[in-house]
Amino acid sequence: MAEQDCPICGQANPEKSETCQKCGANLYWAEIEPGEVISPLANKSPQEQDEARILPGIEDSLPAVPAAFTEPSAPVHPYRLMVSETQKNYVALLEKMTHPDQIQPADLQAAAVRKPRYLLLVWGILLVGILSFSLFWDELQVGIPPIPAEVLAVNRSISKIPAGAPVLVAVDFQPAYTAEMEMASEAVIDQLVAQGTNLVFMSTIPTGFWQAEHLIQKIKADRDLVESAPVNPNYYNLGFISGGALGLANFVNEPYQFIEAQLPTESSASTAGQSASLGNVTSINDFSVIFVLTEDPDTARDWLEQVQPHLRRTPLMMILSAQAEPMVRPYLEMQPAKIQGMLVGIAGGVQYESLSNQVQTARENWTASVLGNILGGLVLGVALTAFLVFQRWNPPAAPAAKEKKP
Amino acid sequence: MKQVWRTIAVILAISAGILVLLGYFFDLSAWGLDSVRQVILRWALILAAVALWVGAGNLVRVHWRKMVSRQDGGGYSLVTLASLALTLVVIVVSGPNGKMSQWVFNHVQIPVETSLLALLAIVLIYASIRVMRRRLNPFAIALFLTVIILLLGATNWMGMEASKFSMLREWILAVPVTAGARGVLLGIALGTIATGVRILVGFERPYEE
Amino acid sequence: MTQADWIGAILGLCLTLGVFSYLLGDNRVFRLVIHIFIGVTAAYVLAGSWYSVIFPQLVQPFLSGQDFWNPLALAGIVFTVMLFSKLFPRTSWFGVPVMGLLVGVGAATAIGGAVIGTVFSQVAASIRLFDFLKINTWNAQVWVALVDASLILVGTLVTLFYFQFYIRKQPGSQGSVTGWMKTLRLVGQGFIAVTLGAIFAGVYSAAVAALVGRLATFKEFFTLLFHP
Repeated sequence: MAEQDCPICGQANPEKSETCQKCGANLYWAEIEPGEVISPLANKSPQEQDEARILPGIEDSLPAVPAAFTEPSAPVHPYRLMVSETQKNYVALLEKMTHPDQIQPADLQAAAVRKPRYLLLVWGILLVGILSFSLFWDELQVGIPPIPAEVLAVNRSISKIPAGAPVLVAVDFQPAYTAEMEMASEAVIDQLVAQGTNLVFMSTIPTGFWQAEHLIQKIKADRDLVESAPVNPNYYNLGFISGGALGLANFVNEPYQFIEAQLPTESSASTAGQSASLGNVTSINDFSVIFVLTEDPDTARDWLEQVQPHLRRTPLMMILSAQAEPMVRPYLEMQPAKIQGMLVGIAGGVQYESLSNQVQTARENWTASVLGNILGGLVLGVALTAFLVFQRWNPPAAPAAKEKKP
Repeated sequence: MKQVWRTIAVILAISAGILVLLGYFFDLSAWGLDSVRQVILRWALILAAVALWVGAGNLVRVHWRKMVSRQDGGGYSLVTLASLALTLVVIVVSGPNGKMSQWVFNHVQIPVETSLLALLAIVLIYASIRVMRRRLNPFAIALFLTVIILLLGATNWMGMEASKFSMLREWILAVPVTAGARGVLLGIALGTIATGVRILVGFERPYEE
Repeated sequence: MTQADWIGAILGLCLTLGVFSYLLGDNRVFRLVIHIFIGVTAAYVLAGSWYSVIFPQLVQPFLSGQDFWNPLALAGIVFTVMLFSKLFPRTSWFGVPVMGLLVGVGAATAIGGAVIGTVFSQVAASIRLFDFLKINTWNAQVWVALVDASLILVGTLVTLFYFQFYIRKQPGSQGSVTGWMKTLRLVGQGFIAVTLGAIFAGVYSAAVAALVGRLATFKEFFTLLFHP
């Protein structure tokens, strides 16, 4: 009778057996990569395994005695994920796109690292040249895309905020995305400053403190250029809250604890006649609105999972980099939406500036940004067409016939 | 001793984890456990920040060894350690709110990081073309077609009415991308739950050595 | 611009050119800039975590006497010392319980957030797309909305199905995906390819925005230099 080997303990079992006679693993549905240590008790005798179970004699119960916990370190993976060759290829495809250095075959990498890549250089000069030209030629202007509902929602929410109300702004983007995120958010923050709100900055990124200062400095500098009596922004910088999702879980329960720790003088009760101080903020719902500025979809998801479920009347708005939009949009495209308003990239900044008419930073750089996108799209389109035509005229050779096994 | 320590680690991981998890679904203040949960979360928050210091300490240790033993790249390690020390001195002396701290951030950190990302704009297209040179399968074609439509539909061209590309772009983002992203998000969430549960029942112990 | 601003602008320009020298191939200037960047980043991470978390939450309450005899605060100090033992291979075993605490709490936070924030809401969202009353209210073209909703639901399901790794093993064979399962996985691959394409386009757009930002800074610098 044909036999099948258990991939976990190696025991030979009858062909039609659904579970292993030695270790009890399900042979029918799961496949295990050979060589993996599946359980600390895999090499023990059946009697030892049975004695270690919570309910001896009952299958599939977990081992409970300390001996199982103190096995020498071995990865405990009851069922490893099986990845097909096609799936591996797709992972590799995406990795190659985002880590182009890995595209070089290993035997050519050393030589390629020292050799200049002429095509790369030509493309780089072309892109930089066209973008620089568009920045210097002010007459070249591209139209603004239609303003979507989520951008209008941001404008409506902000216009309702009274002077002195606290607004939480999470500056959760890496310094690399400063240009895009500041162009996207400047008009919004500028309007909040003009309305006299109390801005409360915080971040789940260590450099967030200085990133927030950079943002507010830029707004002050741009307002100084356009106003004879510039408004001094009223803001507080809580700095960095560590732990990512963990930090947000802390913050949402006790925001006043972080305010007291960072700003001890501001958290005391306000006197009559002064604008509301942060002493009134005892819960996350005391903020009039929460803005999350981020380029990372995982960070956006942390806010949506840890903070948003606690919000009752405080709207959550996102100002995102273009790369985060696809993975965050499902939270907007739902009823009721978890995100009450959203701006994406420079396009979002341009759309909001057309509503508020204050700063025009995004507008000044919009044409160059669009040209860069269109140029990239055209180059890819031409390349794809060319390679598809080449592939059509040069089909792959037919695979050699498989040798028959003796 | 080490075995006892490992057992303590497992007990801490499981008990602290279960208490924090219960707080998501039940009101623990009824049992007086809410304050305990808050304390555990506060410890974890502080320890997460301390872990950053441990990571930086490891970085210093690695580069110091490289420098002292005059390995290949030891000179660069000296540069790393010197810039770390100098920046720390600047921040400590001028204070985190100080002008010099902000100056170094504005004129070193932001330019370098932004330039690295800007380099990606040039390298991404080049790398994509190199990938296209290999045999294109239908899914790679679908991927690149999506990229092309989304890039070309960034706005209406030259002041014209909303182009067909723009409308197609909006539909692609609203329907198939939302569907795929929702599936991926659910997959990630289910995977997170599965892995997290395995950790909380002690089946996986990534913290052990 | 002040003198410090001019020096900063020139420094930023030099660092940017150093990074872009990578287009000519890996070289010493690029590596020098990257190593400076690593050192500066590490310094800001240390400073940010100290001034924002460790000092106000752990050290200051202790030094001010507020938490000096508080056993919970003392436990925090002990855990911190244990975590620092991870720096040295000989003593790293001492920090294992603290890592256990961090991993356990992190896992619980992730599970709680995933269940409440994503699973329930996204599943409900996929179903609510077929709410006829709501469609009528906010979308005049009901049939278009229903077709879109069906596509979203199908796309979500096949994408989830694509990540399903359990396959039926036939006796005497390795086990493979056949028939309707293969078709569903292919459709799921298609949706994932489109989603990856959208992310790729977003990454490129963000990179172009960074490039435009850098070039705009240079434009401002040279404009001020030649037209003060």
